[in-house]
Amino acid sequence: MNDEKLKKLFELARAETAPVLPEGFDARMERALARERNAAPISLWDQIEALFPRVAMGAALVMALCLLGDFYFSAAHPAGLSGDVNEISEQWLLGANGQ
Amino acid sequence: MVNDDAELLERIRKGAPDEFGEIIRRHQAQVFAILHRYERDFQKAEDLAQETFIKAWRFLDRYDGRAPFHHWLSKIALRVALDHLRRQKRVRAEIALDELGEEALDWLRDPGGEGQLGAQQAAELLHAAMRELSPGDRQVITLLEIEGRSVREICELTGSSSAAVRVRAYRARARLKKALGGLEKLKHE
Repeated sequence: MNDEKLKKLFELARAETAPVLPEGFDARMERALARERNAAPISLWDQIEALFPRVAMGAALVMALCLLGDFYFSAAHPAGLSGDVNEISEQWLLGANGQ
Repeated sequence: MVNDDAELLERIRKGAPDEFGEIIRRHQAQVFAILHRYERDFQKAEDLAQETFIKAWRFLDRYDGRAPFHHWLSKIALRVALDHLRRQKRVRAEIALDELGEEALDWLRDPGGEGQLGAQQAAELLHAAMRELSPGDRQVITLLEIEGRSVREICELTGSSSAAVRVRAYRARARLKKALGGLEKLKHE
């Protein structure tokens, strides 16, 4: 299939007239809405679904901030074996002498 | 009779829920036309239209009136259509040749596509080939090439960036050509 033929196919499909809506749709819809009004309040899942793009972006932002923070603090205070050993020794000595 | 959607919506918000029926009557054809691009079975398309209006009703307080109401409703319909496509199983072998009809297949075989092909047949043919696309790609190519919307409009409707829309459209066209090529070969065999 070449580009020209695909373009022609799109043009033909674009000319398709919109289908006629099944009869009585509005009446069925109004009945469904009446049931909806009497039904339980909106579920938590529906609310999350409606907020989906914003929640996902918020979560991505929090993750990015955490990663940046971790990277920054790791760079500012590099972990060293001797420092850690000293810290543990001090804690152990203080604990052992009861001071 | 209230002519303006905004006025009608204001009345609904102030405690006249029955007025939503008028909103349905005004916009049902538009919603159904959108959904029929993604689901050609009338009964299923009607169910999707119902889902769209129920969602619009539930989240009516989130409509801020900055864009026309039909624009907001179209976004909901497109979201419903996308969820529907995602729920459907994508099976490559599903394209049944008898679904398409002899004329459509003859048109496919003709290298220049000069033969007669009706608008409905063309839409059926594309619908069958689009089963090979991901739901997102399918939505973008439908909006761009069949509904004739601009990239900017698609960005607003789908929340995607312009680059993402262009990439999806490029990828979708390539896959469509491949899928239609596959149908041509089937016809030859």
